[in-house]
Amino acid sequence: MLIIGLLISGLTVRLREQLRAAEQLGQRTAALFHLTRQLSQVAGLDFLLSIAGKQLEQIFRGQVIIYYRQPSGELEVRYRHKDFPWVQDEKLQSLARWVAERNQPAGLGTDIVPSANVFLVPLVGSQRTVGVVGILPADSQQFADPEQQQLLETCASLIALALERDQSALEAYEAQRQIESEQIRNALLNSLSHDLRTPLSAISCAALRLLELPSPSFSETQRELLQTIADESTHLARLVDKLLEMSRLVSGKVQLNLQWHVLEEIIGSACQRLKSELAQHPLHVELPRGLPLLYVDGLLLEQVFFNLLENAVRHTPPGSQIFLSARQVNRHVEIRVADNGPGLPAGAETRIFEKFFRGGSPGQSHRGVGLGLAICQTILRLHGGEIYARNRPEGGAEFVVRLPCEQQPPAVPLDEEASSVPA
Amino acid sequence: MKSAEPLILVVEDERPIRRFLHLALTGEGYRVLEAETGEQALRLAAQQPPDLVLLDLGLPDSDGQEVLRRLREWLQAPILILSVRDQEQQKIAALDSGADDYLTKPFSTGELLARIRVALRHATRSAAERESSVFVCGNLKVDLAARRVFVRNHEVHLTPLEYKLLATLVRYAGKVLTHRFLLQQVWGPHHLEDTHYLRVFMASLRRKLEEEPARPRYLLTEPGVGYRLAVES
Repeated sequence: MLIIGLLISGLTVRLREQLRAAEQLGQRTAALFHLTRQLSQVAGLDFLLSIAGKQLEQIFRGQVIIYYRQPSGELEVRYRHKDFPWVQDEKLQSLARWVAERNQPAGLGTDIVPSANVFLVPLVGSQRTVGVVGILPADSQQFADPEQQQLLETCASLIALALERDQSALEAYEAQRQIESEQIRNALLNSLSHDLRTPLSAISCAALRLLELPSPSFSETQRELLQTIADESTHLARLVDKLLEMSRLVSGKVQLNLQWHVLEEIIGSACQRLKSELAQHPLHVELPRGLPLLYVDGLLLEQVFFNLLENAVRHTPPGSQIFLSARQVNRHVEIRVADNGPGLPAGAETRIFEKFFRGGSPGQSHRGVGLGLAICQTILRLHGGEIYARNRPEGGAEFVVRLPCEQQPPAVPLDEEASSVPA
Repeated sequence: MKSAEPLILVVEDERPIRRFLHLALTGEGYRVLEAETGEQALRLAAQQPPDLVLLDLGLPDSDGQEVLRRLREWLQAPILILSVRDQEQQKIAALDSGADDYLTKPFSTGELLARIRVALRHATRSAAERESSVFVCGNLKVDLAARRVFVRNHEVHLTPLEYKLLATLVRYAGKVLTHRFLLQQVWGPHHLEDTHYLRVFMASLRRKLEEEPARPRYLLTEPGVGYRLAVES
């Protein structure tokens, strides 16, 4: 009887324990379920963290602090129970930093700084640690129970995943927005070029056409006015062109069309486009034989020489000489565009590459738009090259373009008789 | 019977440009037909076949390239493309589907009229002229029958590939030839992408034929597109 009684009471105790364990399990499951459901219903970092904080306070009956960790690794408090004590905030933050870096719990109930009154666990996501949760429990013995620790860690990983999900949704949204703003930008640029460029060239063409009419058609004054219309509209058209070119270059969307080029040909194209401008400025081109082929975007590089030569013409009086030469220096090709004009304003050697910087004093007739050299610099940087300017000791300005020629140019099969037939 | 002045069909959607072209062309005595859309252009061309077409590639209703292809199905007259810089692929495509030349906006009246003159002269060149085997431009003389090349009456020796390249340019003198076309003609179908062959050989041709190779007078570069042999105008 006694034995049976003992047996029954033993069973009852076991049963009660199992019941309690089951109840605990049920509570835990319910708490986790509730947390998950709550987290899935909101978006936005601060909403998520506030929901998470309140839920944790209910589950663990303590005061919660949540640090959010920036991708840079910096921690900031984004949730804090209104009664969470401010004392020792610095210490807590540095402990939190340790937790985030080591991905390991610390503080109350652990081996790391057990004297602290807060138990800290990292919010470990699938990609990175997104933050740290700290709980100041009502009962300081609460987290001595490994089950409680484990429960908090489970909650922490749920929160971390929710934050990550939110972050990637945000990134997708950002990416979408970026694409849209890029589209708007392009549309704007297109309409700028369409709505400004076209009428401007129509104006300048019309004025030039009128000027070509036989001379008795207009009085001297009328002719001058026509010339003003032609000059100013040409100038504006050039400004629009340069603005478009610059914005295209800085948009980062320029795909370099890299091909093996002969420098002479690129320079030749620039000279060809500037034929009429160069009429009163003798240009001397000196290119040594045997320069290597250059792996560049031919049209962009042509634009560089076009701008440099155009500048040289514009900033020197008629009759000034322009010299263009090139040489190979180790693994670079160096191209110089020099003139014997008045030179650069003192101290402006680097500033002239800034956008909208205009050399020369105001009121001078050779007005530029202050973008040509900035465009040159951008193009050269895209090619891994550089450009700089200086005054020549013998007078005049000099621009030096340096382009890398590190890659081995491809072979060009010569024809059979190439060496046997002298030129 | 003296035929009337050449008829030019202008296909351009921009009104100011169209008006400018109209002024420039009529000022020079050409007769002008204007079309705003591709459809209109095809209709007008069918009613009254033009002697030359100026076609803007960026038309609102249809792709300019499509208009070009449809015109080329039956029209022999030269077609000049109006285009902007940075659209080299479009220009190449247009040249490959039968356009004769292109002008990059903004262009001057002088440039426009010069190109039109060259194109019209080419189209009306007599059979005898076309068969003529001697090409002369400035100090450059190429005798295709004798396979001899002269600069300032001095004979210049070219390698076989250099000669082949020059002869191709001479055969289409004044016309833009795309890189692809020249590679096909000189190096054959397996080197269509080897543009640097062309550049290197063009450079050596210029050294032999041009006084200032960096400022060529005969062997002109069409940036991003190809080359053109200058003709006297």
